[in-house]
Amino acid sequence: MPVKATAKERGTPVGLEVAGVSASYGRLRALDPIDVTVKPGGLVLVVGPNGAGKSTLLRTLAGLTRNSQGNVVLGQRNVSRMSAPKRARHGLVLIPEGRGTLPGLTVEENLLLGARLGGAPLDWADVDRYLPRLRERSWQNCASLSGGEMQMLAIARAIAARARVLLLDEPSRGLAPLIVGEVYRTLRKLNTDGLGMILVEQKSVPLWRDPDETIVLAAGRVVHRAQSARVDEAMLADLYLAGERSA
Amino acid sequence: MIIKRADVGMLAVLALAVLLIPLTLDDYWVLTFGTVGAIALAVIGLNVAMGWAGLLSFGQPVFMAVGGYTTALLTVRYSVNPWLALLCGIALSAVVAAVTGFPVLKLESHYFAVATFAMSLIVLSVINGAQTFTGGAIGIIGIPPLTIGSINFAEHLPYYVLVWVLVALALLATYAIRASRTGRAFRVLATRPDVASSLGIRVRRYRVIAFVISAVLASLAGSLIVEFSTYASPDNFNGDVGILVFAMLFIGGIRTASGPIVGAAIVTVVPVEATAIGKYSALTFELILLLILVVWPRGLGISVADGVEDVIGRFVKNLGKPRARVANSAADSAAGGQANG
Repeated sequence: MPVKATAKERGTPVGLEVAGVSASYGRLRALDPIDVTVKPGGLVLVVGPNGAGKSTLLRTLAGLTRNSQGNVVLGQRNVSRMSAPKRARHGLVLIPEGRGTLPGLTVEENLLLGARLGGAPLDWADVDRYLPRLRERSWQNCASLSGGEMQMLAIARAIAARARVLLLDEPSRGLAPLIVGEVYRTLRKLNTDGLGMILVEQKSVPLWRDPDETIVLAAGRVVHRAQSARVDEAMLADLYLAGERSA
Repeated sequence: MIIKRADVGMLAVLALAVLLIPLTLDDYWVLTFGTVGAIALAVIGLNVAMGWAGLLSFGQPVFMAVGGYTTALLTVRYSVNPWLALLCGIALSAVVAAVTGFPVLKLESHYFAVATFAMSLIVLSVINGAQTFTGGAIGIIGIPPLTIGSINFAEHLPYYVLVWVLVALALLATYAIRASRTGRAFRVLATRPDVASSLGIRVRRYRVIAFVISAVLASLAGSLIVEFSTYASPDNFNGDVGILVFAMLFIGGIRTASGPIVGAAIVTVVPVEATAIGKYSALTFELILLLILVVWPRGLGISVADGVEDVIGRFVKNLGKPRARVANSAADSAAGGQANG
């Protein structure tokens, strides 16, 4: 069953509205208030150097880091005060940096965890539609998978979880360009089928389409926003350095 | 994979040994391995908490004491049936684990370990302090044994049979849990607790479930120990016991089915047998433990099982080789003949 139909089962494909969300670790402000809008089937790209607050943004939206202030609205539902497990059960699914696959569990067991989150039995047809080769490896311990395969598995787990908005933390990190292409091809299919996503990367990368918005973070704050445009590498370098200077 | 093939092989060997011990060895060994089985229950519990759910716990003596003393007090002071008293001990341990677990399991890793160690010290203080009720350092004597009709489980062979049936049931039950959604959640907690939350798993709830399962098995072990010895003493449940149970798990093999039994057997039997050496017996035992941990860090049970599996695999592979050599030499002769011709 495609994600679009799955989303229909839960209502309609949903968007994500983030307004004035910030995050702190103790007294240290890690992320200044930020607004992000992801339309149903939309794509927002967040880029920035190490320590810019990109992962903090995604972790805060997923509920893993408590938001100090602001609202996170998934579809019509305000999830700002919900715990991470509850947000995930409502369809706000994070694929963390380092893939988040679980060594010691087989490929199928990873997917079963996703299906459990989605509240439905695992349907391999859903997974096959996007990742047809994964089924052959269902009994393989995921620790024995390559980096690219692990990333595919993490995406498949989000499919099994019937994600409504996907938060992707550097899915291309540590992967060969050819493999990154494969990962992006799968993400394109999901995106085209109505799944909204926030994609975090270290730098501006060529995607399957222009993002609805590109947000550049540096030192925990937004230093640049561009509607439907890719950010020029030279400009990005300038922005990074400006962020560093002002930090 | 729920259980490795080598682990199943080791379990089969252990099952055979458990069957053969009362048939071939004398009463002393039946008693010794009965005790090994009782302790193994607590180690199986720790394997669930630490091996699968990643909880670094020294809490087993706490729940062994709760089980043991509940059984002792209910049977001796209130004449409750020993079986019912054993079940009450298990229920109380589960409640104590759940109630203490919710605040304590907020702590991560080493902090949680220190908290469980502190819990074992608190329980000992309570036992020693409430002297009029618990008998203090002297303990409680005259605990009636478990019986079914004319079978008295304080006798060595019936006790041995009862304990090993319970060990088998505990292994089956814990592996059924491991194969379930709960077991998968445990394994996520152990490897990636951050990912667990983002997968909708309530981290603290599942940690508490793992802690309660470990407490139930520790309680059962504590009750069996006092029912058999008809005596409950704080020495049976002090902090050393927590460290020994911990050592048993690592020596046998954490995250394996056979490891808790192998570890319990080594740590129980070796120091007793080492007394034959004389005044260096304790040192010898400790060096043996150190040697096992250094040479087989994955645990002796699973390392030996893997080794045996490798040897058998190589042997089976070699069985085909002579025939291949004959075939090759025949081919070589034919080729040589042609060349010569």
